[in-house]
Amino acid sequence: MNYRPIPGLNIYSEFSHSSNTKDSSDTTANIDKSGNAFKIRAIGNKNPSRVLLEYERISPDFITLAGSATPDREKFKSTWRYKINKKVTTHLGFLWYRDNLDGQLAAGKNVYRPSIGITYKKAFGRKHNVVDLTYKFDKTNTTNDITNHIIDLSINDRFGKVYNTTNISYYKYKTDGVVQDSHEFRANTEFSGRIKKDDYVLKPSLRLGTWSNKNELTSSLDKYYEASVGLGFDIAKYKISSKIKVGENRANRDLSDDSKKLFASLNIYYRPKKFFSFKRTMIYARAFYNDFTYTTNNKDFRENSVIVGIKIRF
Amino acid sequence: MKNRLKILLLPLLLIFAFTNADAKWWIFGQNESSVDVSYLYINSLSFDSTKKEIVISKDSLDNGYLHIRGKANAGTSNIGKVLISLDNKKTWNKAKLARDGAFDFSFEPVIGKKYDIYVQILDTTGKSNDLEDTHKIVSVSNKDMREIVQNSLNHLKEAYSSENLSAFMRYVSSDFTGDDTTLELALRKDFSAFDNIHIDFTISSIAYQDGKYLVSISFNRSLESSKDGKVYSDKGITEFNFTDGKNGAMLYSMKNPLIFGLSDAEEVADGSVMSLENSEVITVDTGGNIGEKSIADIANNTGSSSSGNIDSGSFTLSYDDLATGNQYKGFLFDSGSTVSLSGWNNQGTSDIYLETNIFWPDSGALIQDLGMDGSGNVDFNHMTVPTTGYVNQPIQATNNDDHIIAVKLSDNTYAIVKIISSNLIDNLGQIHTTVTCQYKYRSDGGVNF
Repeated sequence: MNYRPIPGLNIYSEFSHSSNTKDSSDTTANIDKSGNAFKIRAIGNKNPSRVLLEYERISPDFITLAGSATPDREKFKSTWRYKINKKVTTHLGFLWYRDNLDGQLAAGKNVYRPSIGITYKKAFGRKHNVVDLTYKFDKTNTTNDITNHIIDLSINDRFGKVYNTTNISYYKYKTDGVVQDSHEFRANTEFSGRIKKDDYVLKPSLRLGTWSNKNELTSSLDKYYEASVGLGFDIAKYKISSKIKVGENRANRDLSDDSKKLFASLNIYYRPKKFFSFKRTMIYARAFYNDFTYTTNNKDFRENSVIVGIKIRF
Repeated sequence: MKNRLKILLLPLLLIFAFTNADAKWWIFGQNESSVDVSYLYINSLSFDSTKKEIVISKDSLDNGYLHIRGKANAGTSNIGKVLISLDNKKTWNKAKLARDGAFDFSFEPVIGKKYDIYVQILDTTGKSNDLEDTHKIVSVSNKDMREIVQNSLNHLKEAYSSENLSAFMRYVSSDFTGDDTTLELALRKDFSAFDNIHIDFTISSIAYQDGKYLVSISFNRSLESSKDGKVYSDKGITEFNFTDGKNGAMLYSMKNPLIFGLSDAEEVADGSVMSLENSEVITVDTGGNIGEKSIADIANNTGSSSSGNIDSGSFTLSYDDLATGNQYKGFLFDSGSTVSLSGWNNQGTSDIYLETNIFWPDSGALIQDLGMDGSGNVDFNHMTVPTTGYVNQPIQATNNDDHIIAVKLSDNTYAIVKIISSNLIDNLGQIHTTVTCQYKYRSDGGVNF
């Protein structure tokens, strides 16, 4: 049911009932299961604000073979987006859900996920600059409670013909019962460009990244570094696209071997207008080279692969 | 129960805290005028949720007619009449008006012609509403809905494959269910995580209902991780909703498995298509890592936490020839505990145990060595274990560091074990071994770690 009582407000609800009988065999009794699913959603959308409130409850015995409902779930979700001005938009979100609605499980789950974010466009007077900053908290009450924090900063910009995307993230994962207690820090930046001349397009790219993981349970610190350069080459006229990429990933681990992976990949795709009587065809070739080096020399290995294929859609 | 009530009330309080007393609760700072329309529709499309220009497919006409329907509001005075202009205010047509202010005007549009529509509400004193608020430019396309949707999907696909955000957003409704600004953010993350995106799709079914095109597609896609050049490919079935808008069909909502905006599936997707075709589909976790999950896993997690159903940790097992009892140590994934075995007669008390320099599966479990972490598709942090190929045979535990062993337990649940370090002392034939491992275990039978 869809109801719009006043401008910008849309209320949507649905209710389903399922009744199933599982025919086990001739000698054992059939199993009957029936359940209900209910969902209501209200969206108020009129600039500068958009508010969503959603509640759903799906009983454990609600069986759907082709639907999108997850049985044994009670959920409430709310989001509020507010455009302070043309440049700044804020987001507030809250998700709560639980299972074990009939107390049928030994241990159920109660999950709370609030989040807050801000998007700042054209920061520093730069036309193409977009800064996104989000914080997410993830709390799960279950046998071993889980508490995670995620802070993510993403900056997109364009300098002349060069596009840049930079991500900096911090994660804190903790699961009670001495299961997990770790911090992660990730940072990566990618520069890419697009140079077009007639039907030819060159797409160079450079990516640099680092990732560290501090495990408080084992008092160990693992550090990872990644660097790669790529060059794409497309010929739009002939529907050919290709990319070659070369890079290195290094891992420095406290509790096990350090490692280095040198990789290279080449991908070529060609979509002929017509291939015999087939109109939607893609011919592709992929080649990979991976060279792994470890502190313990006898673990070193290398793998090469070449794949040539054709995809035909009927 | 009290806590739950507080949780439900908190967002509502936040919302109301920022509203003006005389404003509609979600429209901040806007006052109601005395002569106005409470709601306005053209067929089933709300004037509020569409942009100024609307292209309507001929399939969405009601027996060839367009109906402009709404409800006039004149505050404390009475409504005199409601006039509709189809030609930019040059001529006016009187709408049928009911006592409660509801009005209706129908006309048979000419295919391809643009109608500059205004709605004027006049109260009995001659006071009018703001005409610009009701302005729409409406045309009816000769194309059928399949063509219109196909055209929009093609544009979305091309814009996504060429990582052109503004071109993509031109085909997204401002009323997008998952919030268009959230989708923008997710797309920016997708473009950072993916390279060489190739998507093929076929529209399998399409229907028009309540002003929306309900579209089901089968897809086939491949993309490259911008991190390490690894190629991921998948295929499946998914659904979109489109609504009429300036560029024809505008993206209104998407279901899992998502084709666009995978980086924030929790916010972007509006439900999941639970089909057997969606056995393994591409996902992106909160750290930007690409992986593959079954649609059931995506739906069950209701979000981005990749650790929701996974128990993980580490264990150290030992074996000692000299010990008079408890020579063997084994591990139980369900409880996450180590157990002591005094010999063969204690078999059946662990899931996997160490004997001299090898691991044995136990209690009906089967194992297989998947190879070294980082090789091929073997990645302890993000991988899918196979469901076949398991054996009841031993696997080397020492001098096999960084290898990942997949374990299939007797109840068809799965675990992965990564050998971190090992030590074997051979004291004149008396063996003493210790092996330290990391593990992940899923009690729900899932295969994605």
